[in-house]
Amino acid sequence: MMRHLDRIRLRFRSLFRRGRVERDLDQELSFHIQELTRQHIERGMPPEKARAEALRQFGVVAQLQEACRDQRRTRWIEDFVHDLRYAVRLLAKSPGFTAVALLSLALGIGANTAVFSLIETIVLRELPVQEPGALVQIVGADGERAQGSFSYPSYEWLRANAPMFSHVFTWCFTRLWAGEGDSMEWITVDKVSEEYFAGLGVSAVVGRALGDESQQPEVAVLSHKWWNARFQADSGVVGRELRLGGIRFTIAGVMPEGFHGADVGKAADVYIPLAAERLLAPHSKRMSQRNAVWLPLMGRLRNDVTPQQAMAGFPPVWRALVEETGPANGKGASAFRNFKGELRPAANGISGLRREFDKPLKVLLGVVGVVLLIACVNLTNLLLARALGRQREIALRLAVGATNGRLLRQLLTESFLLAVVGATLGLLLAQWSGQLLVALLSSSTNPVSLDVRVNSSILLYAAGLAVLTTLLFGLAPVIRALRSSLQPALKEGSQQLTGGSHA
Amino acid sequence: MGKPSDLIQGTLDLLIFKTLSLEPMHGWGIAQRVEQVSRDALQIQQGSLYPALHRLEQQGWIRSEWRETENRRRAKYYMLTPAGKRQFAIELANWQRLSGGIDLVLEMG
Repeated sequence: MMRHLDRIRLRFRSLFRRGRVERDLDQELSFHIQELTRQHIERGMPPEKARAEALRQFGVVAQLQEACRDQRRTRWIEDFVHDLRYAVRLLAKSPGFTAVALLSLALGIGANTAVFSLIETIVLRELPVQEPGALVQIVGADGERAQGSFSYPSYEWLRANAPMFSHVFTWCFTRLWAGEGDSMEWITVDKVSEEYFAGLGVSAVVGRALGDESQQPEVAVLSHKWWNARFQADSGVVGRELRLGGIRFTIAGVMPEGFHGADVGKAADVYIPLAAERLLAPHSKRMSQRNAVWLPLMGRLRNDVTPQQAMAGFPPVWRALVEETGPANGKGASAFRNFKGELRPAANGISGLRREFDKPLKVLLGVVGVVLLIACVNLTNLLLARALGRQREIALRLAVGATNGRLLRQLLTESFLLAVVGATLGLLLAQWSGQLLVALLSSSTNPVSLDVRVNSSILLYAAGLAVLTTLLFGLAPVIRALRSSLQPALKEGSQQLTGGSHA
Repeated sequence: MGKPSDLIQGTLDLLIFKTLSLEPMHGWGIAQRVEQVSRDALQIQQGSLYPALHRLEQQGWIRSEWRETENRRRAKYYMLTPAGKRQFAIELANWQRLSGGIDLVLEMG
């Protein structure tokens, strides 16, 4: 334990008290030389000669100092800081090159990050709910087509008759006018079934979430976002009246930030009970019709049921579901009978956007990847041209004793600096262009609301791109520079030079 | 003059450990002590002594302190840490095992 403390103390000392450490080293070595001189004098040598002899015996002091410095474990940090400063100075000297390099990197990395962040949001991100891994979507499929919409009777039947689920729930996305008079607002609403919030495992941050409200369906809970926008996050909102579609609802609570419902891309401003359907559309028969398929079905697997067990047990449930509650006649009826029931993992929610844009987005990712590659190739050329002008510098550095590895690190630091600054700019660009892409996907009839924001996985992606591009465009000039400076003639010449200075 | 590699890898550490296990000492003193005791058979090069001292200090086996010598001059004294004493015991055992083995082979009929 002590030993580790000692080591940490020494690292700090070498990093932050560098002057002191260097002075110590000087004094330590000069003490040795003085003692050596004293020894020679004691053995009868004249003082001047003794000193010269001691220095000769001691060898090249600078080399020994270097060797001692190399023992410090903070050496690489010192070197890195040094290289970074040098790179900044060098890049500042050629602002034209730096601007072009940063711009092309920012555009390349920005485009990639924007597309990736969209994929992350639509395809990859898990719902912010309890144990999203236990959520499944019920789908009928025959290999080619899939059917994910069901009738209300199907929902009721499944809720009562499927043993593998602890909760079965559904919802319906719609738009309604909220408020009255001048403050009317065209908002998005999810009408949710009894176990929607319980099944997702989300509770309210203010007031309560919705449960079985069939007795009195005129209650609503607000999304965090709309609560902020419309009520300025007033926590006294519970119990207040809210007119939706001309009907008075009472606000029961507010959902947590980041929760946008189970349908990714269709974020609701307000959630009301599905039972309110009979108030909002009193003449609609779809709550009782078997032919009206309009509801997605989602279930949460019971704790003691594995996905494999659930899937194995599902076919008889599916057959009974279709038999008892599927479309009774018409085209839909025969189609449903041919489908096989499937339980699809729904940890990341369900999304029409995903079905529609999964492939195009991945193609787009490939395209912007190629764009970044081209940017890297261009940069490589620019850097190669610059490297030609730096051959002398590199030869000189090798001549005064820099190792290849050290030079490699220094040249890569320059590329790395470019890539990091480029990636940072790209990230800002992605933030903005991500919103733009969402706006492009959206239309007034099919509003898309996505929470595209920089999170750890998007940051990681951009950082990965920065490292990758560094290697792509940074390595070629480095290899070339080293190869050309390792020419034997140059090497020999430099050795003569250093040898001469010591003679 | 011989190169630093004249000493078998690792033996320099052992010589430093042994010298410091007797009393705290500065670099110059360590070199002198080893030369005297070995009757000049072993010569420690400054080029390897000081980097080795700095490495052992970074590893936490030894620590250093500025003190006055008997001639009232300031010098950097090194001393074994408790961890260093344990490390010395380990390396000493290794060395004895190794040299014992070499002796056996060399004494082969």
